[in-house]
Amino acid sequence: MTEFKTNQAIIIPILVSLLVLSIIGAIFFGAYQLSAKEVISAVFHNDNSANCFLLLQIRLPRIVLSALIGAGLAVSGAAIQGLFRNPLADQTLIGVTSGAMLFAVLSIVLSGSILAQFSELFKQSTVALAAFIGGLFTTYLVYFLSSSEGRTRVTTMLLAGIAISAFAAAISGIFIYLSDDEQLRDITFWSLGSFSGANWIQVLIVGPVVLLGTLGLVLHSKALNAILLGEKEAVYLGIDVEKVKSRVILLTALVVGVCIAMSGIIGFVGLVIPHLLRLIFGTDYRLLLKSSVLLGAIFLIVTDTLARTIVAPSELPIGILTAMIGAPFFLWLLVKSQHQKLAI
Amino acid sequence: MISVEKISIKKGKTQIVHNASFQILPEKITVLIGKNGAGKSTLFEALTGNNPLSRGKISWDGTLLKHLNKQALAHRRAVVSQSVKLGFPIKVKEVIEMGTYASEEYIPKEKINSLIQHALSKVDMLGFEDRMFPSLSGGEQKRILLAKCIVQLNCTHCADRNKYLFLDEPTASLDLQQQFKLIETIRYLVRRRRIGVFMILHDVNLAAQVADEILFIKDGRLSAKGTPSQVITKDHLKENLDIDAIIQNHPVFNCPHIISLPERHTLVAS
Repeated sequence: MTEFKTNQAIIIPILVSLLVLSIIGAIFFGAYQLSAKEVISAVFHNDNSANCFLLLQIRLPRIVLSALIGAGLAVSGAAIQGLFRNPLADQTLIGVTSGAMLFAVLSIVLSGSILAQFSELFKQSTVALAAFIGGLFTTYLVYFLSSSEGRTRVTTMLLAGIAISAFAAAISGIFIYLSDDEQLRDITFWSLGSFSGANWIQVLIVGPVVLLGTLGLVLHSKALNAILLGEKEAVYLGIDVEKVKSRVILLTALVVGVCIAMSGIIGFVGLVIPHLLRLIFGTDYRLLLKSSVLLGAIFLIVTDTLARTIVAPSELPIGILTAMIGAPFFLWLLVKSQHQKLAI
Repeated sequence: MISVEKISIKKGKTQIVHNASFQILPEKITVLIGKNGAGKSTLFEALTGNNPLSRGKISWDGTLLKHLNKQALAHRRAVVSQSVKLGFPIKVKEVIEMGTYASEEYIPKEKINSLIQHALSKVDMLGFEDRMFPSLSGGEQKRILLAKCIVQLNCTHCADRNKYLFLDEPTASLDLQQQFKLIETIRYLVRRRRIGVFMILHDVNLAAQVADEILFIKDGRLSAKGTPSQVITKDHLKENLDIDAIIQNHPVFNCPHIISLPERHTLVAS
């Protein structure tokens, strides 16, 4: 890790440059392609034209939101892999995704009756809030069930996460069974993830949570490095492992909860991005977490640009694209790790 | 001085260690010997702050162990575990650098490099820094873990406090030459760095050569303690390790040297 500073001095500027490039690309490309002149005119003259509205009120908030969510999902995936000491772990293991899904389904189905008289915006906000609360609630339940005498066992947590996720999926299933056609369509689209309704208010909600959560996770880089050697070894090095566990799980649940609440379920970002970086640059969490933030943001900006371009004027749910790119990569990783005995 | 007073330790409902009292002195080497399942590792973990006590107290230079947080403890002691299984493969120098994590101060890159090189030279592993840790043999991994501890002891500042090194069966997977080198390194740390050492050993002869004090543990109870000449006797070996032995004086080190005999040695001899 003495290479850390040398690596950081090279990798971070490269990723920042790629992030800037992807943002510029995402500004120009879309269902309606903007020319450089149109972009400059929209930015500097702010003339209330259609281009100005498209750029500042539709495209730009969407780009910022996808960057924030990509960063949040990737950095929390990296942190969870470190905590579980397992390359195949991601946020779904702590129950946040299944809990968010369950509560989102509940709110969509119930909105048909209880919330029927309210506006569409209010209903959408309710779904987002329900997903956020659901994610935190199930994570707390998984954490509570795997803790005793002030210690949390990560293996128990893994099993509890699987069981609670299955249970939450079963209850979701019941409500999906009870839903009508319109609700079913809403649930399906929500579960596939999308940034189509992105606006500055969402950016203002997601931004602080992701930025502070990411900062909190990055501050635990050294602790996650020490946990590489095992929990006992980390304690010998002065790390309060139990505190680290509870903080990393809380921060991850907050970040992932707010991301899922705004965009629906976007799979594989938290799994694939940290792994790709680990394969190339090694496992130093001081670099891995920071570079995951940047590559996660780049990945979702690029895939969202593809999602809204390749079937324009319509658009693909982004979860489909991330899974289409992520799943084959994940399988390749699985096979490779078996061969190299990297998996534990 | 680490003072252990009448401690008992439970694992679940089973009492593993009963009413143990002893001291670990700075600048001295204390060795714990006992059969498998005697309670050595449980006691070891309690001393290093990883096992809660059900009774009694442990104090480090006058401060109760339970009042020392993880960081404060890491300033005062380093621990060489029996083995380590990595979550993800990393390089040797990355493992050793983790010794600096115990320090609260900023350590510049050049200083980290020199700490790593110094530690590698002490464990006779110079040139291994870029190797992947899991690709090393068990013995080599153990030497790297010791190097990490040397860095930890060298980079933490703890004014007016003694520092200690704990080793759990450090020679278990080392060849004979490396066993001697390890002992040499430990002696260097004790004499030059004024560190107190506590270690678990199975090799009674090695313990006799290196220890200032030996503790025998049997069924969770400390059954004998004293200098090697005081405690390495036929009776203690029979009582604590269930072995018959011939005890001689080591011709070079002038300490007890045992030749252990199989259980039915009289039959074999005949």
